[in-house]
Amino acid sequence: MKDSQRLIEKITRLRVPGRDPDRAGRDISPAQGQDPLASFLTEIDETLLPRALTFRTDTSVLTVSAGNRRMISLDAAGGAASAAAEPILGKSMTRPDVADLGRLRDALVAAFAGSSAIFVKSDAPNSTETELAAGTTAVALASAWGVDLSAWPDSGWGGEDVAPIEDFLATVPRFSKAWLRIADGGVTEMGGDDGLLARLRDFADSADMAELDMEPNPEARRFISIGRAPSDGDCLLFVSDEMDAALVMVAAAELDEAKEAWRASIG
Amino acid sequence: MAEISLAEDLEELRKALLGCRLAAYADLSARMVLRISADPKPRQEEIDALCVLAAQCLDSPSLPAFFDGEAPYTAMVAGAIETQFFIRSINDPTDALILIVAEPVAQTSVWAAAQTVLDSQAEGQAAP
Repeated sequence: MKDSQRLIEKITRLRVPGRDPDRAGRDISPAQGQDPLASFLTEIDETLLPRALTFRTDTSVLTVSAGNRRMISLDAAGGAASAAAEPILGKSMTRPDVADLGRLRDALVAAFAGSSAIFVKSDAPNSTETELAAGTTAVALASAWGVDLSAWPDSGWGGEDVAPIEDFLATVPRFSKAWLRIADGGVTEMGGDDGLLARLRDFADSADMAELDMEPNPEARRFISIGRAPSDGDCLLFVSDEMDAALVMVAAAELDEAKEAWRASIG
Repeated sequence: MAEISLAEDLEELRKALLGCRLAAYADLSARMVLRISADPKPRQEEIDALCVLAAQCLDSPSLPAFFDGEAPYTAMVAGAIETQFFIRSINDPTDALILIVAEPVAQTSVWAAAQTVLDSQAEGQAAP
């Protein structure tokens, strides 16, 4: 038997059913006696960029659109949560009425009832909608449902610092014309004008990008803007933290706002 | 004469800009600072690193393609405590002003102040 085949069989045997990280995602299970709704809402609260979040339990699966620390919509539900979720599937959670808030809570309670384990997986958003005000904040949902998010303990995933790039990119739609995020040498997310995105992609592939990326910086957090004459035309922004980088195109007039957003992101 | 004027201009610029600790005039192609006004006096390694960074930001080969064929004239490297500004001389595109200013600082005020020095230099060099 070839080594590769033998290894595949060994890895397959070692898999634990229901704990496949590719299928299930990250473990956000609440500790004994803690409210699973707090797990759900904390995950929403820590989601800055638009994402499709899939929550799995032993009995249910829910997919929601989230971004800018808001829950935007409940997009899909399966298993024990199906019936409770059905009336609000695909419905916008922007300024929801009391009845829809109750229905959403009922669907979540049905999904999490009797299940000790919750896993979440984050994928690219189903929609390219970048409306920052869409949806309802996790804090507002917690308030409506009487869930105390501040009491949620730091279990290693909740309450940890948000990466500067993640935080910065959440503000970018406010002032940028186009942006793309780079991780592990490839573009992972983007937004804005298609023509400008093509120019950003060309620069991302150039040797200059590598040269700027390699510039020694003890903080490993950089904000570099390059432009034509002062206050004229567009500027190319290069930002990076310890993990990721991003290229952003902004009008020169918006540069101070972009810089302040970055400074806020790095604290 | 022009060199004395440049040293004075840099000194005035540094003192006029709130929080500015360094103002330098550099040759980008040689990656060398020609004149500097700074308080406190920086280590040579910091000056050398500034020249390299200025050249990377303003003279990288693929940047003109990004800016419709034009070389960039301004660059800014922002940090948590202070920000480095680079502005190319229109009169001599191989030269640039380098400024380090404490945050918070509005970039428009820095560019405007830097431009007066560059304009002064251009006039000085144009004079017989």
